[in-house]
Amino acid sequence: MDLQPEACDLAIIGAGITGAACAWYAARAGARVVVLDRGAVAGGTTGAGEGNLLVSDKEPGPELDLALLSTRLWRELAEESWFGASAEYEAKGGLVVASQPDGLAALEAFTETQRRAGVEAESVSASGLAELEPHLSPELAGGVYYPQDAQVQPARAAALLLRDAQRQGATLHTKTTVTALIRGSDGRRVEGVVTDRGTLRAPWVLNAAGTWGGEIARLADVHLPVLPRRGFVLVTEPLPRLIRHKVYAGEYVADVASSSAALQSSAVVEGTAAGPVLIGASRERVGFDRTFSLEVARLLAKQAIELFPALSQVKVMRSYLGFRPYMPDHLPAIGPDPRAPGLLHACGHEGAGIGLAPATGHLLAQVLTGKTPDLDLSPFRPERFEDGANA
Amino acid sequence: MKRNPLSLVKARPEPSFQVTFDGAPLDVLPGQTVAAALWSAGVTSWRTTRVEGRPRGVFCGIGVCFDCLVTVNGVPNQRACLLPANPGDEITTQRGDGHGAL
Amino acid sequence: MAHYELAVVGAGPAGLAAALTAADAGVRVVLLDGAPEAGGQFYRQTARQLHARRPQRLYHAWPTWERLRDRLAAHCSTGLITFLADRHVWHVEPGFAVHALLGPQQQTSETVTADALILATGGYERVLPFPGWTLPGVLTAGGAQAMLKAGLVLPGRRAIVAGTGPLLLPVAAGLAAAGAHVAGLYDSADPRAFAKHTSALVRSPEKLLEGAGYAAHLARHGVRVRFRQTIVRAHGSDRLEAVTAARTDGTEHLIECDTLAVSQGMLPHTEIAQTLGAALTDLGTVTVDDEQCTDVPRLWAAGEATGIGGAALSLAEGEIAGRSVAARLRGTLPAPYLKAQRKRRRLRAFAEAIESAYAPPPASAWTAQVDDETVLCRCEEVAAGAVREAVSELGATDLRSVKLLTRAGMGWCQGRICGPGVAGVAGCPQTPARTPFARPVPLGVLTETNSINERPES
Repeated sequence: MDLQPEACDLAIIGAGITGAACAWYAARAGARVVVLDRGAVAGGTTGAGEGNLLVSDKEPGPELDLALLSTRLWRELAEESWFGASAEYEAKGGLVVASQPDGLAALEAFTETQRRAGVEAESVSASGLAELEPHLSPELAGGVYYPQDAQVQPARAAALLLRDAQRQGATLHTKTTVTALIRGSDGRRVEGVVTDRGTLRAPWVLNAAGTWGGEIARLADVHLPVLPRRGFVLVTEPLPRLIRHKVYAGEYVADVASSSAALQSSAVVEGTAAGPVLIGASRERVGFDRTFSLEVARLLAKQAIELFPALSQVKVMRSYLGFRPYMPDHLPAIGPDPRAPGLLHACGHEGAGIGLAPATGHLLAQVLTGKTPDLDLSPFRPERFEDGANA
Repeated sequence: MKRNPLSLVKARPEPSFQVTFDGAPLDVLPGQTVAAALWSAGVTSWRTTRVEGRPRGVFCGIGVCFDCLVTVNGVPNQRACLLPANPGDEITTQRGDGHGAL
Repeated sequence: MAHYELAVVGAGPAGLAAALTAADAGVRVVLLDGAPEAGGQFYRQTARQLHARRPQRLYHAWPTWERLRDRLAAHCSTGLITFLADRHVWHVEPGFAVHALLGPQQQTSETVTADALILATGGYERVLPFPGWTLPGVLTAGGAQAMLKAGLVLPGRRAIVAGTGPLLLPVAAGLAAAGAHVAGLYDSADPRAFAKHTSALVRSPEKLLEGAGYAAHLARHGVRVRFRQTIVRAHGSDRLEAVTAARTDGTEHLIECDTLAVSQGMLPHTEIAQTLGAALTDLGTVTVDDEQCTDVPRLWAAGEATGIGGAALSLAEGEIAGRSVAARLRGTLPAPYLKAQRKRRRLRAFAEAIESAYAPPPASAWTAQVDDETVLCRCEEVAAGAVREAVSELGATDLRSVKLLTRAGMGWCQGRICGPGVAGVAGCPQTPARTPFARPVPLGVLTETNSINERPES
């Protein structure tokens, strides 16, 4: 269907979780929203996500503040009848475990800093671990339980948000590729999008193209250093409820924060409502290489079995990979781009895109309606990499 | 005598042995798969599905579809159309993901 | 890890021909197959312990099999071919390392490496969904035949064979010969469609004779054969009790039966080829050149995986692939093998004619029968209604997004069976299922598998 000329306040490029959340909050705030995606809903990284809604893996700072806001917004969304169960939202909590006493001490020190920033966290002894997760390896030293962590099915979440946004007047155009941006006479202003199915004028254009956000930014002649950070997930056969929480090894936090391009991997294991257990998480900067890596798969399997020995007999049925949108300072770009007035960005959330989506959408809706955002957006300003000194 | 598969190819099978299906004894010819053994006894389904609890048996017959999953000697999710039956095997109707014991 | 010059995955007609031809030229070959014996599906062997003294009654061209079997035994005794039966290949790494699970238990894995690889992974049947198709008693036509050949068992007492495709005739004939009461063969094809392809068909008279033979056999057994009829519904509470057949004019009739053997042609197994990066054609088959080479260096493919066309074509393609590998491994060009090339050309033309005449009904026709409650994804029990909702309301545009939003294709079979059904109902192209795990693998086994592509420790 070709784009009909329509009144549009906000054109969103990207129908993944971030684009969907932005569409929903903006539509609810009264904006006339059009969402465009070159493929299907959740066709990019969202479809390769595990659905982590975490505060536990974030050190105090802007990203943690965003996550705390977002986790609250997820809970509110989950209470909507059209969302919660259908998106497989589970407020299951996260359990971070350490295999050695010194790792546990480091974890607890980290947790203390998080508590001061507003994160709820309970220390768990080795015997306490067994109560929380009966199938967890008995060889662990202890852990921390984060009740605020939750899980959702990411593709369904994005689709349901978009469906509800459409009920509130938004329009969705899948299989529609943005080929250029309409520029103002000053050569900087962005006034709409050109697609392979027609053009659309809008005072605001939002780059929610995730890992491809750098390409969209280039259409406005601005630089946004989004790079892909590849991750694999192993999916097991359907199982009964073996694993009750999201469980991961304390080393995970260091991996997320690492700037190394080499393979970083530590165990993240969780059950799903449908039955299969998801096993992650690996991080590598290898461009957009979609080749399967047996080496990574083996490492993920080994780490998962170290946490849950019973998984040794469990069969892996499939594996998928995704490219997290990685920014050099591990913070997303959220907000208007002063280099190209009319252009907003909401991308570069790396491995936290699902979790941070509602906060991103909520804050941008506040920006669009002229309100003061609930969080200071300056750490996320898209132009920060040209500041000379990185934030 | 009515033509049957054994008579068609003039088979001289080795002596049959017994297995049980949900506790009931079945005679099985050596070399037959669990699915073939169950078919010989007139049984066409040996599991119920995870979501709807519906019965399933052989569908593709060659190990591609995974419909014929069965639990044998407590080990679930084996493809009955591929797994040879062995003397004394305890075949049980599999429910859902087959991991009830976990 | 044992190393060979050539690994051949699949010991059906194509894989056998390839392995034997390469071994004839002195190449050291490892041949792997998941079954306890060679033969693939076409020559699926009756279990040894059943001691079938007249096995040929269940097969076509039995002497061809005997020659293949004997040549294999000879090469195995010299050690030029290592035949690894009961090996279920779950992953192949570039370079090549072939990882295979042992036996139907699939609890341990073994790896062999080779300089060159021929994929002869064969095909499996396509079944378009219809209400009731998940009832026990409904199975694939080839599945009924496989169970009969291997275990000398019949699916039930009163069978209908239906769908379309060249497999229906031999299946019905085989079931009837083995004593099943085949109440009818209902083929949705229009016999007039064959008239359009007479030249391609008559150039393979042996194939026409084969078909005529089956037809005569069915006539002898009193099996009624009806064209332009489709099974539109299967009835029963916990197992099949009857089916409804519909004619093109819309009239329907009920047929009592306890077995429905149904399929609409075949699909290639291409997951290993895809994982290795080989290009696929628009039909989803592995793209090969005149020497049966793929676009991946040292990777060849032959048989149904490169295009559905039957056993004789697979044999010709396998020979050509084997010759090509033998020459290329020695750094020479293969001598033109005119006989096999001519045969391949002729049989490909025949197969294309058959494929066209036996084309499955278009989606517009069969999806009308599929109500919202009909299960499309058998593994995950995803019904047509959910797929339709994903497309019309949730923004799904292709099989991948339908899968993400409904779970269709996420189950044990990884979309192999439901692909055509979901694509038809969703109105999107049927992209072949991509998965690096050709078989489910225990996580413990995965940890014990050595990769040949390990990067150096950083």
